[in-house]
Amino acid sequence: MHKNEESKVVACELNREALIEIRNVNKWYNDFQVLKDINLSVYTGERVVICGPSGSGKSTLIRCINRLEKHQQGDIIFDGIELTDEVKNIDKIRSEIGMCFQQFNLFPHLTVMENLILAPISVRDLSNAKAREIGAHYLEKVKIQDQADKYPSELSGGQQQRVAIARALCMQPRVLLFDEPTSALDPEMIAEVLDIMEKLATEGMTMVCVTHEMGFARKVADRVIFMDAGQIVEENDPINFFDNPKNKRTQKFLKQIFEH
Amino acid sequence: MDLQFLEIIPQTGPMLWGALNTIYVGILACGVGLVIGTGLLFLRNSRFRLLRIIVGIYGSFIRGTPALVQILVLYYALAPLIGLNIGPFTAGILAIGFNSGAYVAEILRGGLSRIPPGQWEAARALGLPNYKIWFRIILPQVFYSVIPLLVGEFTMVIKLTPLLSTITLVELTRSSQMLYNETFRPVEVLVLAALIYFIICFSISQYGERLQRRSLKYRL
Amino acid sequence: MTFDYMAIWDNRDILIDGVLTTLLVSTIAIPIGICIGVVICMMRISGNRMLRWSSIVYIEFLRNIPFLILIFLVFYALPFYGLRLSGLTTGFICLSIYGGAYFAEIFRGGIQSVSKGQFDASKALGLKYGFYMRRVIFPQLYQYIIPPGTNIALTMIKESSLLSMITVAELTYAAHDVNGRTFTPVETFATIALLYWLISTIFLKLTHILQIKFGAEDTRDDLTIR
Repeated sequence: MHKNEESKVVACELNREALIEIRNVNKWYNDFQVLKDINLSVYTGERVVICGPSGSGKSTLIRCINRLEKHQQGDIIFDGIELTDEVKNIDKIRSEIGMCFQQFNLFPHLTVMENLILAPISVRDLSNAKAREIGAHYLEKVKIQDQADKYPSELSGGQQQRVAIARALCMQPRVLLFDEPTSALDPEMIAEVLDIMEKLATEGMTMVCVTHEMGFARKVADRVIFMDAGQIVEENDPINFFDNPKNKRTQKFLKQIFEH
Repeated sequence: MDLQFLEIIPQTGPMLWGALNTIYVGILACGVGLVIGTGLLFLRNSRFRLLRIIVGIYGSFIRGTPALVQILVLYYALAPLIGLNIGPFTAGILAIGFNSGAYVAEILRGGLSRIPPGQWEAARALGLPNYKIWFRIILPQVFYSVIPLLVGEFTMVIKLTPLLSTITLVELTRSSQMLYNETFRPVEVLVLAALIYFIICFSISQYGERLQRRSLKYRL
Repeated sequence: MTFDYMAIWDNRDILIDGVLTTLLVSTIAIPIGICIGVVICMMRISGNRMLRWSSIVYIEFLRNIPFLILIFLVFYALPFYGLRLSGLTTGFICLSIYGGAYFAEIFRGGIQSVSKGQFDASKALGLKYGFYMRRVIFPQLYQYIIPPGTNIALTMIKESSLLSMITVAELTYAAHDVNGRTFTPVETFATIALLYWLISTIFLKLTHILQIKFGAEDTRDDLTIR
């Protein structure tokens, strides 16, 4: 627990400039408002976990960060650059933000290694050899070195998600976004993915993670955020969040989660 | 009447040349069809409404008129109109190619609609530029997923080639006609021709099935 | 560039007869083809190996040879066995059996698409065979069969143009006829192209109404079955 406090202090001391700044963001799908006046700052080195019932807008929120979804009102600023519709701007920002999806979304017609090196070669102009080196390094990190030449269809769900994490890491992003990375996995494979995520966290990776895995949140997060019906309802450090939830809705949600 | 296949066999040389012509035209027409089909796929999504309308009319025309009529229109009407002096070979390849292209476009469109949106998202999340996403991620998957349909389309192209006999192209059917007019043995000749077509088309479908099985590794 | 409209107009009765013949042949061949398709399909899914293999041979043979070869075989080769059929009769027969092969495959696909669970549930509820086939299975079949089925029917209408090669006086033959008299290939062939296009468009509109009536709209606009 005190590791969390330590890193929080470090973050505060070293870097007052937020890496991701979300200010007064509102978003509608036609008439339905899915994000209501969201304000959030994420600092370098911070691990933020967002939880909440389905339909609360948590996935939509992190997908706005790398502009897979567009917000209609408010500002999202990454590393001092504002997210707008300018294309050059978006591609550059996306190469600095890594994302892992619930459905993994590996490219099925490419081998594991080819999945990893595609973006570094295309976007960062690395040579094939250098990209493979980096790829091999991250494959080792996620513990799948020997599957480099397999196709995604030949791997289990847990292995595929770990490859997806490695693929995001190969771009050496400033922050990793996770959109319910373990929700589509069979229970026995969840642990292997969470282990990797934990390892990344202890190595200082900035993370914003949407998840239902409360054990992970308790262990790893610097801040836990509860969203409901498009709003940020409560925000606290893990100890206080889980032991002393202030808001009634948070209490209800936690009760439902832990009752199972 | 007694069948005398053995008598006929020595005279079937021209028929085999015709068969080669059939395959030759088939492959070229298929190539034209693939190029046109892929091009139409992009034009379909164009920002310009006029282009989208033209693509729609083109597809409607190809789908709504017999291939034979399309061949006749191209060779006897369109070409003289534009002032192009093209031989039956070129006209045949183009006519069948244009025909096939419209159907290939539909096949590819169906395949495209079945690509999970997650593929687009993952590619964009990595910061890949649009054209790279199309050519390295999306199109390969589209083609892998529609192999059986494309193979079926190739078979269809082969089955369209006999129509070219009406514009004096000597492919398998025309050379068969010439042979049985000479030998007065339409039964043997036509049965042989049917057999050759069957072998060509059936082999193509079998190969297609093999390709399809192997492609399963590249799909989730 | 002058279009000789008068040449077409003067010979319009030849062309109109062609249209009528085309429609006649199609209107008769399509229902017969459907019936043949049902029979072949039943054979294809039957437990009897002889029936099954016969139907497979039938289907594979007809799907892997060009329609033109089929009509040549019937028209030019059968007479040597004493069976000399007119072009029109050949047309009816060939078009029907050709269509039958394709219809059979569509019906088979449709039956396989209705999940086994529907049969299980019906039987579990104690419903009788005739009843659940009519009220549970067939309604679900319609959406799988009608869209590709109308495609096959349209293809048959277009294939009828090949009957011009065995002297059946349908629309394409009429065009050759008019062209031979007036030497106006551009006008005649363009005209029949438009006439065929008109026939197809009307046919598609009619079948669209049919699809809506059966609740089997073809939202995909799928050309993948020729």
